[in-house]
Amino acid sequence: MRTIKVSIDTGGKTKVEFAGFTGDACSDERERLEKILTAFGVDLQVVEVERKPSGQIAAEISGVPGEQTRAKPQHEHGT
Amino acid sequence: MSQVAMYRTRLNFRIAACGDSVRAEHLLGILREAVQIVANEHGGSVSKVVYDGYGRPTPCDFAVVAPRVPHGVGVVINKQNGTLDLVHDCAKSTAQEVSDAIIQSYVAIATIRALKTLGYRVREEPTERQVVALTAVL
Repeated sequence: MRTIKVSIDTGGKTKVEFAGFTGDACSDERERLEKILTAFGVDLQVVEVERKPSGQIAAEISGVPGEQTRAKPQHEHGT
Repeated sequence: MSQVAMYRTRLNFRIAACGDSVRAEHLLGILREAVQIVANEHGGSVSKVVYDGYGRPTPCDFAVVAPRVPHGVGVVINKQNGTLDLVHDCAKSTAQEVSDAIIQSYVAIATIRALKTLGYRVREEPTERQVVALTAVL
């Protein structure tokens, strides 16, 4: 399952997180999204593009929590 | 390879300013919706005119008129370069706050439509007041 999470601050500063993409699919999808947004009147200036660690990507694709996404042990939530 | 991308955004209405009427109407529709959202948040309404302290009117494309900004904070599409100019006669910080909220709403509406164009199901997540959070699933 491919997921894109977007958060937009006041003034329009935007963070886009892609999950569940492999190979060049993520860059391709990011470019498609940027192109459509430009056509909608939103100019995007890239501040930073960060690749997720391979372990996290593998976990997202398999649906199994990986090192970067592993939930904290329950006792840390006080349960 | 999944990524996290950070952007600064700027609204650009070059297309709307250069006479492509279909696209111009599309962008103006998004802008109208964004201004309406901000007007609702401020308990106000959308107008096409702002007033100065002497009651003199200045026309604009859209304006938010609300108890906090009774003379209105308006936006005008600059026909020369497609940027969105502010028109107001109130504290600069207040006008900037309204302007930032309009930009945020515009980017959010445009992003939702863009993601839907790509085939995603999009939902808005509950979050703190200053941030719009969207989740899109394919």
